[in-house]
Amino acid sequence: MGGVDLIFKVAAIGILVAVLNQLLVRSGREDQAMLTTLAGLVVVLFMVIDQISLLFETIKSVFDL
Amino acid sequence: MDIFKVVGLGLAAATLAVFVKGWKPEIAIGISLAASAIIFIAVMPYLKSVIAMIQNLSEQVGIEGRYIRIVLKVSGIAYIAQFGAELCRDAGETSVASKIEFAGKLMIMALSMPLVYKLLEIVNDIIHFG
Repeated sequence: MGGVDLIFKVAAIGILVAVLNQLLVRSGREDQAMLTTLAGLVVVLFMVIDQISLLFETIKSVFDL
Repeated sequence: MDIFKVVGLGLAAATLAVFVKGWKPEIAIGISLAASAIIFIAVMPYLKSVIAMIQNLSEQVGIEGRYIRIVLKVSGIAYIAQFGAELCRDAGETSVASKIEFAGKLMIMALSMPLVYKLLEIVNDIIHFG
């Protein structure tokens, strides 16, 4: 089960985005902070979407939906 | 044992999700999404063997294959609807969650309608036979 890597990666992105967000907000660049958050969210969704599609395919084949 | 892996992964994911939720709740949702999908995929081989056994058993007993297939489809829809609804509820979107559940119920009903029809037909036959 090599899925733990993915969870750690997502958590790392979350922490990184939070820190960047704090830094940008402190230096008075709220708009860039918002964009950083958005970019982090998109990256996380792209990472997770493979797993979701794999899950859906597996369920489709197991239950022959 | 796979159960220790699943529990360990779940605990790690829950800890990280709570940790990240303090700053970025939207990324915490990504963590729980990934963890749920990975755990679901990890238990699929067991489910597969159980389903194979059920199909085998029903063949031996002589139940028609398409009825068993409908039952399997219904449980698949229930699984996937539950999965989506729980995640939405975790994210705080209760109304979306209840819509997902409603869609699942509706689809299950549509799938099982032929069975109800068949049952009524059998009842009708019995009444007219007597």
